Order: sequence, then C-alpha cells, then structure tokens
Amino acid sequence: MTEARANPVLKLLDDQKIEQIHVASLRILQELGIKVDDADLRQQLSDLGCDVVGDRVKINPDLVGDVIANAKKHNRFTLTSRTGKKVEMNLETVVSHSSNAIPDIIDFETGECRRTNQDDVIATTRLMNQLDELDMPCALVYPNDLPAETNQLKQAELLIRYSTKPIYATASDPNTAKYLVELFNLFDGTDGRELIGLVGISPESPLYFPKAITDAMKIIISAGIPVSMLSAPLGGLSAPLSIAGGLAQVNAELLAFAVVSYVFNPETPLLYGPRLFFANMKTGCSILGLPETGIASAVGAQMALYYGFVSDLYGMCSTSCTYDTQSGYEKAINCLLPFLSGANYISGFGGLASLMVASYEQLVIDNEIYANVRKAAKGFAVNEDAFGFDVLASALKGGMFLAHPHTVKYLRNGEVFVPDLGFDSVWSDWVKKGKKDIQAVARERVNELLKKDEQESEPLSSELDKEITKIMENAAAEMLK
Amino acid sequence: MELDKLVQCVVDADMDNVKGLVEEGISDGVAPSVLLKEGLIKGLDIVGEKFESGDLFLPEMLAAAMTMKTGVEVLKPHLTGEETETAGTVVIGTVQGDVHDIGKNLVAMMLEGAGFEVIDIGIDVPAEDIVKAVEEKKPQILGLSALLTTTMPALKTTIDALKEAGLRDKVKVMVGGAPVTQDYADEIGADGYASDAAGAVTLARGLVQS
Repeated sequence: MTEARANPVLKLLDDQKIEQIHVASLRILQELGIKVDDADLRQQLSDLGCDVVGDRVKINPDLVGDVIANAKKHNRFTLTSRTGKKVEMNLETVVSHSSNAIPDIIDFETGECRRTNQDDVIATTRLMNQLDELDMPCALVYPNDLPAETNQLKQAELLIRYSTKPIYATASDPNTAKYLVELFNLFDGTDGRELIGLVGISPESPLYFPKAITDAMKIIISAGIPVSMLSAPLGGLSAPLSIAGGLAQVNAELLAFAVVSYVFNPETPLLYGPRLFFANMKTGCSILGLPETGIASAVGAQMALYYGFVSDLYGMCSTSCTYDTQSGYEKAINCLLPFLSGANYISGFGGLASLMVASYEQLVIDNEIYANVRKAAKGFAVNEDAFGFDVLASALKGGMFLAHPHTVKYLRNGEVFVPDLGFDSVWSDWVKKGKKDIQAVARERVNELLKKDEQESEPLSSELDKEITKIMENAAAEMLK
Repeated sequence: MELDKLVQCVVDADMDNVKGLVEEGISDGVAPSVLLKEGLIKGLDIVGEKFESGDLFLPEMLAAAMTMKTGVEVLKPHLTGEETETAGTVVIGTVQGDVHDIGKNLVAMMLEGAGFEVIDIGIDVPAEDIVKAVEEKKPQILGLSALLTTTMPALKTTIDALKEAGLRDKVKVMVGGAPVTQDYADEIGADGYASDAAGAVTLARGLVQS
C-alpha cells in the first residue's frame, strides 16, 4: 500500500527563505567546496567545470542547476518486494521506513537492555511484515554476532530472506556495494526492471566524501539502484549550531552528493535525505528527540519539494529510553512536523534512546503513532455532501444523526480515526480491562503479530536460496580474508 | 597587575587578552606559579563549578579551557619542571575504519583543560599503530573512540593487539562513542567507559590514581 501524500499544509519557511538557503548552499559549494579523496573523481568533476584545489572540489552553481534539472526527470520509481508488494516512490506519495542498525535492544522476555544479534534482525523484520503502517524495513538492529566486514551485507541478506516488503539497505564501502548489487540483481526481471529496494549512503560532515564512500556510491549508482543521499551533521559539532546554518550545510552536502552521482550515472533516482540534528550542549552527547529534529526535517521536506527531489527524513525520533510520555510527545512532534510539510519518506519506527536502543514493543507503538500522524495530515473533504445539510435537517425533524446513512458512509470512509492499539474508551473500561498501559498492550500485540507472520511466512524458493547463499559465500571469501 | 583580571579573563574565555595579561603579570614581577595557580587555574576552577552545576554549556567550558591553555603556553618558559607537571599522559584516537573525530576531539580538549598531556593520534588508526604509539609514548591512559556500530568491534581488536604485544598491563584503556556501553567496555576488557567528555575527565583522573 502506498499512501498518496496530502498537499503540504505547513511552511515553516516562506519561499523567499527557502531560496535564501539555496543561495547560501551554492556559496558553500562554490567558495569552500567539498573534500574528495579520490583523485580520479576529482578529475571527473574538474572535467565538468569544477575548480579543484588540492583535495577540495569547488562546484559552480551552473553545474548544480543542471544536476537538479536532471534529477527531476528521475524522481519516480517503483519498488517491488520479493513477494510482489509494491511501493510507489514519487513526489505525490508518502512512505514509511524503520530505523537502522541500532546496537542494543530491550529484550522482549527480560525487559533488560542487551546487545542485538541476527535473531533480532530476523524477528524484528518479521514483526515489521505485519505492521500495516510500515512500508519498508531497514535492518532495525545491528547483528553484533556477525563480522563487521560483512555486516551491512548480512543485514540486506536477512531483509531479503525474511521481509515481505521492499527493503532499505545501506552501504559504506565498495565491497558491500558490489555484493549488494548482486543481491538486488537477483530480482531484476527480464520484462522491465524490478527493484527490490534502495540503498542509503552517507558521506561525512562537514563536506567530506571519503574514498570508501565514493567507491560505494559509484557501484550502487552505476547499477541504477535508487540511492538515498544522507547528510547527518550534528549542529554545533559538525555544522553551525544555528538551524539555518546547519540546513545550508546539509543542503550543500546533498547537492554535492547529487553532483557526484551525476558523474556516475545521471539516470539513477536520488532521494534527498537531510538529517540535521543536535546535541545536548551540556554534555556533547547527540540526542534526537529535540523539536529541532522535526523542525529541520520539516524544512528539509520544503527544500526537497523546491528542487523536485523525493525527501527521506527523520521521523519518530526520541531521546527517551522507555515507553513514556516523553517518547510519545517527541516522536509525535518530530513526525508530524515533516509530515505536514510534504515529506515523502519518513523514518523512525522502532527506535528509542536516540536510535541507540531498539524495542519490539516500540515498533508496534510507532505503528500507532504513525497512523495518528498520517490521519492528522490527511485532511478532510469540504463540499456540499460533507457539510451534511440534509442530515442536520433530518435530525431537527426528529431523525437521528447516529443511524443516518451519511454517518455510516463517512465513518466507513475513515472520517474519524479508530485507534488500533491506543486506548479509546473510558476510565471504567480501562479498569475493567486490567489498567494496561500502551506497553502492555503492545507486548500482547507483538506476540500476536509474530505468530501471524509465522503462519503467513513465504519461504524462499530453493533456487533463490541457493543463489543468495552463493553470493554471500563469495562475499565472505573476499571480505573476511 | 590584578590577578582578578586574569581569573575573569579565563571565566569570560577572553582569548584576545589572555596572552597580554600573562605577559603583563610577568613584567610586573608576579611569580609565574602565582599567575598559574591564582590566575589561570582559579579561573578554570570557577568555570568548572559553573559547568558542573549546569550553568554553563560545553562550548563555554571548552572556550575557557582553550583560553587557559593559551595563557599556560605564554607562562611555560617561566615555570619550573615541577610546576609544569601534568595530570598524566593520554594517547587518544579513533579506531580503524572510523573517520569520526568529534567525540575524540571533545574528550581530548576536556582532558587538556584538566591538565593532562594529550597525544592525539587521529582517526581511522589501525590497531598496530595504536600499539606502536603506546609503546613509544608510554601513556598512563589510552583513549579509544568508535562512533559506528560497524567500527565498534575494532575497540576489541585494539585491546587484543595490546595484549598480544605485552602492553595491556602497562596502560589503562578507556573507551567511548555513541554505541559503546559500560557492558560492552567490560566485555572487551577495557578499564573504563564514559558516556560524555566530562565523564571521561573524571574517569581519567580515577584511572591515573588507581
């Protein structure tokens, strides 16, 4: 299911200020440039008219303009899972995905925080299969029990094996990228391309493209696999603390990413992933639940629309370490702001503690938060039928609102939100049902959904299993030398 | 020369004037040890108290520490060996595969502010280079940083390399970085873990004394 995006109703910045950020970013690119480790790539950028000074590449505004104009032609694509589920990605849709590679998890049995492993990747992926609001999983947790060298690749393999939805993989080195392409190519149909997912790649801030990253970019982008360009500086530590300064730097880094991508393959779809966030400035620890995360994402959505990029944004982020009011309000605020601003692709499912701790229950709770936010941003009909004049007139003559066909029709069309997980009755009913809080309800739901997924699971064909195994064996032989 | 001016200069992180004030003190005949203890260090102590109580932010604390460091540089040639003794020597670096240096730099600056001699060996440092640095510099403390889940295992690799080189009992190892936890530090055999830069200073002081 892909949801049509409602028209943006929130503009934190007016068009003139969005233009100002664009101009500030062009200045950064032209005067400061980006650091590029790869000499060949520097030469290729020089051939496109960039000014190369040492290891820095200064990018001229005309080239940026050409790249943006070109990217607009490739901002529409479809992802298809191995079981045939489709996700449409373009400026008119909004799609959700989970957080990625979280190193710890709240153990479902003991409630204690512990290191994650590949069983957690599998179980959380299966749970995500059953979350109706979640369109695409990342590997929610980092499998600490697997070697670091092949870890990102193993995450993708496990997603392919266990997810019934299209997948979001990551690559930060060329070997991972090479074998990711092989895995993705297993699903490349003969009559028209089938993409099982996309790949997120993140250079370093400020304005630095290490060789391992550009090598990975080259492999993925040359293969035509859609790439989410991710720029995640920390305000005051790897970007100016001022929100406008951070946004201008993020925007410059993403435009530079698009320019580099243009060198490798101008037809590859690119997503605009501004991930500016801030630290606790009394300790220096990075935290994600501050409202500035949502503010930066909201303006990020505006910037993406300004250029014609599909946006990929932080969503339900929280600093809280438990299932409390703080995690609820932080996640809701940070998801609602970009959603109302026209976001296309929203993250955050399953994470707590600034994405350092994952939770099974939180995945289910986030499904509910996202449903609430989606409803809030959806809008409602305003027309003669919706005004319900006849219903009102009928009620005044002794009729009923409640049993009127108009009421039933609008109720069935989803005019009023019906919580799936959240409590929606009265105190006495809550007491009668055992005074359960949202975590307790979520816990029960996790068990139900995991059982359901077991019943519905569609195992890989033995042929596909063999092909995946062969690729992974080759990868291990090369990468674990 | 009024010492209060020098104290206030550090409190205000007035980098432009600290050098001049220290030079003024020296030319006025104030003992260098007095300029150090009752001027620069007193100023940073006040800042430290305000930081501890939450009245100052980390950037303000760091700016004050850098101001003090500038003053100490001017003062150094005039101090005796005993007076320039540091709180300890720390070799610090980000492990192999990880190019992130914000956390490491923060810890290094805070340690310097607290009087440690800090030898920064940079980012993406292979275990064998870290072993070599420990061998050559003979620090009391080795600080290792990893920001990514993918590079965190290199903390263990490095500690194992220290063991293999027979250096593990010669140096205290403290680890940090966003995905690192106390449990993980214990698991890989580190001597200490801190979740933030200020905590790292407290930890380092404790490790030196232990």
